[in-house]
Amino acid sequence: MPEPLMRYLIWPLVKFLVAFLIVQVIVAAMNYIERRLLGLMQARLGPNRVGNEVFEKITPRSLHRFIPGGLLQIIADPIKFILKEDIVPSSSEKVAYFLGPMLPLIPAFLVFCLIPYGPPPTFVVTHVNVGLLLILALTSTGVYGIILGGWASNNKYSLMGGLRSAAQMVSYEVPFGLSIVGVLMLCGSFDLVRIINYQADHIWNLFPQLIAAFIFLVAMNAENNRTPFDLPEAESELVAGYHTEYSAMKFAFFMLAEYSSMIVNCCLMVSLFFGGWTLAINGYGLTTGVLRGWGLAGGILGAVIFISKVMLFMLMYIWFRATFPRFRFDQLMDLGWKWMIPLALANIAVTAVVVLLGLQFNFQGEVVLSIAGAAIIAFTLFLLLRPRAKVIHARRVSEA
Amino acid sequence: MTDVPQQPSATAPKPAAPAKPVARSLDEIKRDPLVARACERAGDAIISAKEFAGEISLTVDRERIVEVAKAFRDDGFNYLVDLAGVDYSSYPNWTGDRFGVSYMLYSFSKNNRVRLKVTTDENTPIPSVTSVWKTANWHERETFDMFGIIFEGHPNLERILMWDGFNGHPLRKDFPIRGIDTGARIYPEVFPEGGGPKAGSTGKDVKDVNIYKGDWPHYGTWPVAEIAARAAEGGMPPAPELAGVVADTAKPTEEAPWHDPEKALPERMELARAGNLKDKLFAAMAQTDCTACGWDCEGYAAALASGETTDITLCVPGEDETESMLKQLMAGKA
Amino acid sequence: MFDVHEMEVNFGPQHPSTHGVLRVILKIDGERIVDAKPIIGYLHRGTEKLFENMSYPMCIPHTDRMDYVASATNNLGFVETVEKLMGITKQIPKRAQLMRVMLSELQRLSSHLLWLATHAIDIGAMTPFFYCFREREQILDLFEEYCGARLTLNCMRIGGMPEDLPPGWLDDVEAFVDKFDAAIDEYESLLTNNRIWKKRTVGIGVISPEEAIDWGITGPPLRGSGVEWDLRRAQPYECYPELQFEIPIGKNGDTYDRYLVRMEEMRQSNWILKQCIPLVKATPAGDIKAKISRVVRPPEGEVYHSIESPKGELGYYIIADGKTQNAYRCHVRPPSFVNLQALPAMAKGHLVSDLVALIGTIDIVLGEVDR
Repeated sequence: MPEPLMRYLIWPLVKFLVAFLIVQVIVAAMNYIERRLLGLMQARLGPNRVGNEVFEKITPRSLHRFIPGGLLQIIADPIKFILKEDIVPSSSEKVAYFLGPMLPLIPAFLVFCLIPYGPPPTFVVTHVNVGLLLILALTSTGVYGIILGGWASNNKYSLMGGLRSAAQMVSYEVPFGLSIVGVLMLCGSFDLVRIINYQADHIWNLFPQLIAAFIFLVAMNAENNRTPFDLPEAESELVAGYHTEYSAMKFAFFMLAEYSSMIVNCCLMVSLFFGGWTLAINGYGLTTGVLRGWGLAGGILGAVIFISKVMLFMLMYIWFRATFPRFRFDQLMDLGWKWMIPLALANIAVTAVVVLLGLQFNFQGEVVLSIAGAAIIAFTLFLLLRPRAKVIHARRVSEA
Repeated sequence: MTDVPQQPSATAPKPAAPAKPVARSLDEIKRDPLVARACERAGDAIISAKEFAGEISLTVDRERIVEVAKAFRDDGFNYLVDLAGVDYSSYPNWTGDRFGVSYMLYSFSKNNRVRLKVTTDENTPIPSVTSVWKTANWHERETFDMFGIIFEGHPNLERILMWDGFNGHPLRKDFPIRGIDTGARIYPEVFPEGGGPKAGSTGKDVKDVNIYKGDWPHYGTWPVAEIAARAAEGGMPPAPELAGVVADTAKPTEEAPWHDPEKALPERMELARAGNLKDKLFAAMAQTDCTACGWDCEGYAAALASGETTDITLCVPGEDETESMLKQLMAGKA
Repeated sequence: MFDVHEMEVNFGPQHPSTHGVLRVILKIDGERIVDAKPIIGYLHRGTEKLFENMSYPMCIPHTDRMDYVASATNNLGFVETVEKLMGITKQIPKRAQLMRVMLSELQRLSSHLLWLATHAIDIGAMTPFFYCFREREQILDLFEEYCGARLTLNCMRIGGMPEDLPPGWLDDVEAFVDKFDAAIDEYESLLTNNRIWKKRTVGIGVISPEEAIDWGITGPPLRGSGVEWDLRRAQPYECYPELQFEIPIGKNGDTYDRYLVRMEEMRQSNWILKQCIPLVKATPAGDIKAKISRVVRPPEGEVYHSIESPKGELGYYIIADGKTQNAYRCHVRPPSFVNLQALPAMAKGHLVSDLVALIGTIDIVLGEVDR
């Protein structure tokens, strides 16, 4: 087989398939983990039955209590989705209704080629030097499917869900993109691999770009329609929002796209602000060089570190979901346009000035920014952990 | 209006004092400190007064209820607790108008209640008190819905608990407790399959038993008396749930004198002898309009006559009798 | 007629947050509510008609089915009204009165817990739902221990109570009330100072005290508007005069104040329960029925009597003709029905998202609205 074919087609394809499969397993597992974890947080059980008998038969008795219940829910759910009747509303716009769930899937899957899961070259599917831009461009197209699906359902609630989603995604795309600019200024590249290596050689971007990381976190929650920004599918207001009329596999596609883009956003978060697959500071620790020196084992270690970090952020989504009430639509817009975007712009300005001053007067800009970031973190922790008076009760209201 | 109450004193009167042995006269009650000031303003509209269990009820002239209500509201009774209609038609030894409406008032400053009452009949409207208390709106709608009492000047007097187009007023004493046939099965074009009326289906005209036309005896009564009479004779009451009501919709008309389930088949055929084939077929049916065939009796007859269907076995309540008669008639046509 | 920007949306009767079968026809401009028209009656069962056709004791189970999340208070209102009609209010033994108070306060807790659970989940906070149900289960267990039923209790009789407390019940109640204050703290830690929760509730559905009275609003919504009026204090029944409790009131009359009022009411109910336990223990066991005829045939007359149900003033208006064992007319004044009437006035100008908060804050039970 000719060398270029191998290098540019076969290998990337194999790598993509492996990565894709792993990601899909994570998506399925996330569903299960989310339900179990929510159960844990909400004083209930969650799915704990499916597959227990199977595991009890194939494992020794002493291991039984270590196996979490309901593991085969991961398989049972997709089977259920596939076997359920696919109901198409008679008055829907058939083609658009069909395309609705498919469209978000394409960018959601495509993006997985562009994410570096571990040290290059083995764990990078395609090394694009403007990878970050491409990822941003692709993920922002996911909204079309939601709008189309909401409109094509011919249901007022779906339409409202679709419209909410459109407005929300457009609004939060701006702070989402702006928050990255500071990182780009520090690292000087759109290449995710170079951004990660830069962080290993200096410090996680979390510290110099704390504000940006915070904005990115909020914006990625909003982008994925997750609590507290789950307005497009707010079940208590819009029944189920844009996917009210969808059932069976089409509904599952929406879910799949949502969880896939959640993972993509978590991957971006980890790559941009938390050092990707590296565990290093100022060039010491598990840098890319060290990992590559260990060969395949080092690569796998890097991938494991990366996925662990990603999973932590996935758990954070669940934690948010269990904690927060839902914003109202105008409040969501307020937050986006009046707080997030000005904050992101201010962050860009400050970063730019500090970096330029650093070049002029020959000091390291990110050190100054890191100190500021660490100070903010310390101050926030102080605010959160200081002893406070108990919650205010209604009796106080009546006294007032 | 802007009477925001103070904290009522702890020595508030116990609400449930037993009935006083000596009844006070109308004038004495009017001088009661609770109602004295309001009665000064509109006392001449109060026809009679009663006291029971420590509660004062004042019967008010129907036409002047708004005036009295305003007098009471201005005197501190700014909270209309409740508004309830009563149908006195089967009350023992009742001589007055058929309906009564009671207004329960509460005063935050006096911490006590007063009841105003008016009476009316089926057709005379009562002036609405929605201009005095906003809360009267739904109460009056409910009273209209349940009793058919009309409130004049109400901004939106329509049914509230029953659906638009329901025929009858359920809390009237002559409304059958087991309910009436709402026509759900007879008129599929108004009432879709699976029961329940279509929202806003009031545009339907004429035959629809479900449209309230102010025609009171239209739906008839549940034959309680009939059941009791049959039970007294030792026979069991008729089994089918809605037999009486269905029979009621199947009353003979001038065009179809045979349309009466009480008549026997030969009698019905005799009545229809002069008619065309459709009339004869119609007369052969069981006349219950049970719709087991998918039509009412007339519709099935028309369908057979026009050849829309050839199945003569569909009339369930008519049994063999009807079937053999239909067979003869259809053979005659052939 | 429609403005070109307006859209009509059918909110319910099959909708996750209409708390049953409420249907609201919304006219919306974008997401802003121009007009809201509640349509009710989907759960109408003709309870008042049934009351006219059965004897007074037979009515009691039917009262359960009106406000089915607070059936003990429905029972209480009905039996008290009949007792008032018969003039035997003062003959009810102390123990029975205390038991009635305990059951209705437990019922108030369980009703408010259900309200908080659904209100929170309507606004998007998922977790309080499960926390509230955890405690509500314990209350239902207490009911089950007393009368065998968990939801439709049928736990009161005209003239007293059906049976004495089972052994150990008071200890179970004591164990529950001791823990319950901490549970309320837990709910409040999730919601009360939460910024998003405040954003969603402060200033939503403001209703002034004058307006509230004009609309006939009672219960926590009235107190949330700053009117200190509670029938347990204003026109006390049973042994409430002997018990200490505070009436929480709000300041602004918005959804947040109504939330705070109900949270505080739960604390107060818990306090009442704590006071009741030693009082019940001091009364002789078995003294739970007034000595009245088994046949309930009140004299001719009409009474209106109301109690403070968890949702507001629950009144019964009974006319007896003195001849039969049936009520000639029994009208129910359901608090939900009257409170719901103010929904359009509260909702106008707000967003669709606020409508679910408002439906939650009014705390309706459609079984009671439609009867």
